[in-house]
Amino acid sequence: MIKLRILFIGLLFCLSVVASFSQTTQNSSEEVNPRVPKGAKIFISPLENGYHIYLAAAIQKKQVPVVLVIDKSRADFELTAVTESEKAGWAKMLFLSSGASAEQASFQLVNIKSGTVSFGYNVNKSNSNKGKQSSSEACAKHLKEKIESGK
Amino acid sequence: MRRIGINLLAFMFCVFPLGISAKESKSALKPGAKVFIASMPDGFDTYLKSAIEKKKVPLTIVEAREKADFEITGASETQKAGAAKKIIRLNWHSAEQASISIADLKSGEVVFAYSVNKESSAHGKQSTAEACAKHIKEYLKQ
Repeated sequence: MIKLRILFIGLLFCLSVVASFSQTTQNSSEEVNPRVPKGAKIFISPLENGYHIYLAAAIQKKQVPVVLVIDKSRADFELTAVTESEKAGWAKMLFLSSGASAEQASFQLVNIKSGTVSFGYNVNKSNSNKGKQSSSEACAKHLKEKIESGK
Repeated sequence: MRRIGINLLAFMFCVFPLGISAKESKSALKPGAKVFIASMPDGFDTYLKSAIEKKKVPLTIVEAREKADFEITGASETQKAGAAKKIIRLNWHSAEQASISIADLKSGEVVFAYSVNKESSAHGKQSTAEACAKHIKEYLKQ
């Protein structure tokens, strides 16, 4: 009876160790894979014009299934961006009756461990209704599609 | 009784490795939380503090980051109406855009973020700050 009990405890312990190990193995294989898993921790690189905060808001609004972190050491991925805004001049207001700015931005999501680029996207809006909010939400939307596609 | 205790200990010993690999639970912003508002360009942090008070957002603003549970960071941009906007569109209001983000200082996770864009802001930064405060309040009510 005691031997059976010892055997049972030993078997439970082995199973729990194997379960923990398999998760570690899965994480290692994901480093090479450019896929962005749901629940991945993403750090957004700060930008001088505060665009990283627009990106954070866009990711929340579009309900992208990731976790944003403010500490790079806790992140799995790093999102970097370059952005440019051009305000509407008098000619655009007069001839196109539009006061909306022109926005363009480029994004890159890099796996911190493997160094591979998992996602890249460019956006150009000649007539951006909501300025930086529009371009950042375009990025968030396409990032969500990438994650949900599982590719 | 001894056998039960031994069995219980053994069970906990086996379950403990599984518990280590369990994911951390996501932190949430709750009413009454202490927040620190980081310095923002153009003094937007001051507008935000006033807006949080005006909208009666149930948060406690602290002046020291060490005492806070959460940190609010933000960015703001103002575009004053130029001659073209005034003459052609007959609009002298500024265009405002702002974005804020609230992060849990312990876990490092961003718990809330919001962007606002007002092409014709009647009250300038006050409008965008109050929009941010209003949405923080709505989020806390959830």
